[in-house]
Amino acid sequence: MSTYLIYAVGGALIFSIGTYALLAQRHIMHKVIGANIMGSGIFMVLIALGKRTPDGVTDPVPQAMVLTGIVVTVALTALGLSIAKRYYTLTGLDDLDQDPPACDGR
Amino acid sequence: MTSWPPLLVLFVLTPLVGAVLTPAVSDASGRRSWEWALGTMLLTSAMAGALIMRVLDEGPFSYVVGGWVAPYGIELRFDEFSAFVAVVCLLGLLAVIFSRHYARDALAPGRIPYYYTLLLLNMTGMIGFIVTGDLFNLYVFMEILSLSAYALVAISGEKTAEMAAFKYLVMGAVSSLSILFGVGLLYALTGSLNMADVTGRLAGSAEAPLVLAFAALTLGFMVKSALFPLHIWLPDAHAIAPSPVSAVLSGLVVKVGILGMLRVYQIAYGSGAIDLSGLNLMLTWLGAISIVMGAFFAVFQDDIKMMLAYSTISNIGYIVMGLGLASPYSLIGASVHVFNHALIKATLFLGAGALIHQTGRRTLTGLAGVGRSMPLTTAAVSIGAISIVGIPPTAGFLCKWYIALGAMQAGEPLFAVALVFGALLIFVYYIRMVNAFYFRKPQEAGAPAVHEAPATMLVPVLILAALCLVMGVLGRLPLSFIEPAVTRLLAPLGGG
Repeated sequence: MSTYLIYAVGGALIFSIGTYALLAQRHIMHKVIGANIMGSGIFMVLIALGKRTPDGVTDPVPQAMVLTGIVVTVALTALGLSIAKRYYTLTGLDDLDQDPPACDGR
Repeated sequence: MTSWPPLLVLFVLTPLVGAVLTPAVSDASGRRSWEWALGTMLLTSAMAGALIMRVLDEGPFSYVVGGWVAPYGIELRFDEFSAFVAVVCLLGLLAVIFSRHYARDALAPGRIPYYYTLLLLNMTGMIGFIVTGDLFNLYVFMEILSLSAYALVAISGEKTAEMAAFKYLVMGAVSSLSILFGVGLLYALTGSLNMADVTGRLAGSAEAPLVLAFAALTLGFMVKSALFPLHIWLPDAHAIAPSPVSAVLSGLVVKVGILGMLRVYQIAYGSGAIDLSGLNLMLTWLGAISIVMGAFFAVFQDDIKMMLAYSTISNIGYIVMGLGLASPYSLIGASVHVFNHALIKATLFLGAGALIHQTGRRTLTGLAGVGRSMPLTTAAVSIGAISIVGIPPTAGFLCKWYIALGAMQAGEPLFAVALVFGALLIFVYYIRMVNAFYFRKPQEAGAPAVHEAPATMLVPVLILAALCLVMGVLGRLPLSFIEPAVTRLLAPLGGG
């Protein structure tokens, strides 16, 4: 089993775990962490796709894509966490299923 | 005109630089940030005008960033579909003008500079997404757009806004990662990220990974465009965001999914490497279901912005159904509806925003009789509502007519029936709205006397309402514009 294949299979597995966490978990923190795990899965698969060059040297372009993807995920996580924190401060709830009392938003 | 190309780069950079500098230019209470944002948007709009003049003159053109040629460097491309930037800049400009009083009343003063920063960033992402010719660049601009949109939904800082923004963010995260995966797969198959180059190299690649790549991209764009059953994030996010933001989200941001699908189609049709008939069938059905479900839920809403948000789902259904039918007429109708729906929905959301701002009420029950005190705004909203139903002299008619013709052309009259049924349901909520505005008495006797909104809010609404009528009368204009692009898109299929 080549290293690339291990990465690809591992990535697919991690991606599934992340998707499950994102969709099935109710706790807002679990959802944010789930999105991160999903991202890691995708990144591992992308790294494995670097195998495509015939001379055995890893293609650097997917790695550059992963780096950019990580930056995007960091931004997403930061925003998600700050929204989650604000939501918790305002409502004292840690999941989205209980509707907070209606407010007079514009 | 070789001295022109840098304009295409400046076009993307101007709102970006403007966005970053907004907090530096304004003081702590948000003064001067409006003027700065307005100036930036005016400059960007002027550039959009120049670029569109050029594409009319000489057809699609491109610019190579940094001098690295296409397969290695990033290419910016401007073609007929890119003319959507005209609507982007117009709505961006009007949303900024509208925000002047609205933001001051709806947001804490400290947040106002950041509000304009996010709005300009949103415009940057939108413009970049439309003009880029590089698949990975497409993903990056889409993320700029999405992240600023989540933050704009949350900006009021209220409980429901935070909840809506979080839902939006979670769904958006899934779709972004799905698109990144699709882009990665396409790169692995072709060794290129340039769209034109990928199209050329795809022929002869293995079928299975190709299907997976296109499925991942389509899934991602379906979430972004809120197609049923992936629409659940939309009603809350669009209804709770500040009204100018709702107009931008509903008019422009959901269209990113559609434009993304168009890009994917350009690659798929151009390469001829994959048979899309299964995907088309799915899109047609999901589009038809979206039309009916969106209109059905809209009928039962009392909250005016919630009603408009569901109507967006229904209209995205029209566009996606047009794409899925893939006949020349339906594609033309869908492409033009991308333009016209942006104008119509912006009229409605900005008009609703003006009504809510002046009366402090957002339900149809609460807004009863408002037609007497705010005649201009309610007239504009009514024109928008007629357009969205698709009654002949307005902008909405032509696109729906073409999509219905397209359904006939594709030999699927059933979908034309779905379209008409959806329009009938939309007509019901139009009647409900007009009835509430004009024919019901105000409920509370002690309601404060309301009057028309300030000029910065009223004028954008009236301009947009006028455009809804003008685009209906001058319907051939966007049509003649989009027709060559659609012909080129379908050319590899033998002209359709």
